Amino acid sequence: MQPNRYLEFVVASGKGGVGKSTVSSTLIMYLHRRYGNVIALDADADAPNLHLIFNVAKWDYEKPYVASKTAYIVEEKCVDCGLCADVCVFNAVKEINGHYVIDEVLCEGCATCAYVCPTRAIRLRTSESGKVRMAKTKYGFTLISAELNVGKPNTGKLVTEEKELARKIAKNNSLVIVDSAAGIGCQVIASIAGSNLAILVVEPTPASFSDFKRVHKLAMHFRIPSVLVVNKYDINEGFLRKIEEYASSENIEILGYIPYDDVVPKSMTMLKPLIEAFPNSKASKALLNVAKGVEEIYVNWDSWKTKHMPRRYAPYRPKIIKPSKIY
Amino acid sequence: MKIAFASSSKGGLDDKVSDQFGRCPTFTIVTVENGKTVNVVAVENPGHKAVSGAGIKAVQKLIDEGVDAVVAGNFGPNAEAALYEVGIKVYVMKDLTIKEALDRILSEK
Amino acid sequence: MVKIAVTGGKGGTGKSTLAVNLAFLLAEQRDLVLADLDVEAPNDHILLSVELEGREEVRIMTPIFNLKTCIRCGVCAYACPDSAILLTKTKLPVLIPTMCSGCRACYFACPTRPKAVIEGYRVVGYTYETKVTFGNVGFVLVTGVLIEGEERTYPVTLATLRRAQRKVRDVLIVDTSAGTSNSVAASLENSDLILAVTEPTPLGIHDLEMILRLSREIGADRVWVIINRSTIAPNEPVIKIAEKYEAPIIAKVPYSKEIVESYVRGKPLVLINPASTVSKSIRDLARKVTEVI
Repeated sequence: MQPNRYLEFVVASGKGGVGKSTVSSTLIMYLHRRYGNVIALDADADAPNLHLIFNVAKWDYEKPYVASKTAYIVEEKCVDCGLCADVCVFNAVKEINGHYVIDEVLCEGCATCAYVCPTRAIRLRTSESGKVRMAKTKYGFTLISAELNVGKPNTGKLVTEEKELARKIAKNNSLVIVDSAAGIGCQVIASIAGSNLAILVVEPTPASFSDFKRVHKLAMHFRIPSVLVVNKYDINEGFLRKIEEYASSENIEILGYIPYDDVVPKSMTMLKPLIEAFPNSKASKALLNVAKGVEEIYVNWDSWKTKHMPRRYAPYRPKIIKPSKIY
Repeated sequence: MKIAFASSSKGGLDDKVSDQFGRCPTFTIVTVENGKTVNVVAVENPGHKAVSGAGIKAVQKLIDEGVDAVVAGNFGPNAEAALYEVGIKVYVMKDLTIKEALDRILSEK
Repeated sequence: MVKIAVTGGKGGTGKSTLAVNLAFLLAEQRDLVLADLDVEAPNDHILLSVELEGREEVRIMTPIFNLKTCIRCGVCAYACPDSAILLTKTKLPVLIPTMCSGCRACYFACPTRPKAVIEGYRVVGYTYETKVTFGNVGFVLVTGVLIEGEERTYPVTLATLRRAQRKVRDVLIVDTSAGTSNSVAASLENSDLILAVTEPTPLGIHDLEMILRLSREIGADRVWVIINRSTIAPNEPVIKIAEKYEAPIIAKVPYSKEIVESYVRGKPLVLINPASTVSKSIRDLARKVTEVI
């Protein structure tokens, strides 16, 4: 029996290219087939890819995401004093032959330059910084995706917008599966915040391991229990022990080990989820086991959750240092 | 003291405590004096439909209402940091009605 | 100074592996600095198995409110683009530090004299400067690391880039983060050569197009495409995109498990297995890079 409540599972890895989307696309396919209540959410606005895996040809809904403001200089009013360039902490005001221009790609729209400009020559304008889109896939579930325009600051807000859209179309027993952005920045924080379960993907390399630990800490910060999937476990079996030791010390269940398999990149070029393209491959079989593990957690959600709450993790509080002299 | 409960729908003692702090539709604000409930009001949460910074808008509302403590199922990190900075006490409670949550707080004291 | 940027859009395409190997090969003849600008998940030092050294703080301005001079007008909260300032019931400003980007808008907006906004700071990350030596080949690795819990990569990326630029005398290689955000744009700025690393999968191709578009937008004049794991799928779609943006495909690196082995040993592949096909294609690339710089 599926739980009669709205749940959100997030698949995250920190490092890119370790198989996050392969895992999430499998979970989406499998759980939707079983329960018919899945909403897929691609939170990687920097490099969205679920629409490629599920071969979405056109979007049923598209909404421009207007968030970022950028500053510009009104030439006639500018006296070329350069104060704006002095105060910009983002390095976005450039001097070209004694005149100043604002690089819109680098500008964060904070308006600090506008406050210092003695001639009020600086104005702000909003620009479209991305899109939130939605489509019904041919596999029957809805995919919500976002795309950031190039050179726009990556933002958690875009992910929050996607999640809001998911909540709008969700029924009270929907299961949202979020394919998180890479890294540990604000877009990942937004991906993980409000989720119920973090499914972390790691491969046995030092780089992936260190990133996985950072994302795990983030999940602990939100008091979200984590489970682990080891991808390409056989490329470096010597390193596995380190991952396993960490997982057992942090009470993280390892849901499965996926072998390296040439069919994974091949399925991507076919624009199909792996378990559709190569259902009998060794990677598919291991992934299906992982999906069944997630299903087990899903159907026993309330009792599972109470047993797997992460330990309390002290919230991050930055130390603010006062200047030595206060006038 | 005043305790705010993130509420799942229209607020009131029979409503459920919301899982979400920043994006809950209403806050039920209960005024307690000497262990007795003296007033119950429901206020809209400006964070409910906010595009961004929902948690912060919700915190600003609680400050304006003069609230001392707040109850919800989950708090975002920014909202939690903000509540800490302004000294509003945080209680995490899930799957309870507001009345049950209130009784739990009162019996703690 | 010559600046070479290694980028690619998608994560996990082999940017860092390529940057590290290229740095090693170019350092045989040139004075070189490698900057790891993937501050959320810096990897180059792991691939080179060195401990980071020479730590410096990355500080951003963080306002402190002087309650003696504050006139409780609320302008700072209004000016804050990140809604990081709350107002108490008596209109006293309160800062939520993790949301503050350090833009100083509140400082300049504050109308009282002396200003009630005092410029304090907080540490959001660190930069490091590490000597890397393999036999008689050596170079300097400059690394940026974002503190866990902090959200803003841009100030740390910028500080790392600046430290590397101060250090460099001859050749600078920057290893950017994934994606096409403004952190990446800042990393690519003023590059003499941009190496866009991709793989022949739809995702790789999609992200390659994004990075080529960004390169065009910032006015880069020389962009080369490198197809990594070129043997896993047909290369035609990559070639088509590259042609559209007039970026030549300069190298194809075949898929090989040797790469993983070099990860484990923490040494550049071109050093531990110089005869392999992967090493050969990277060395070939290094030669072409040397010719233009």
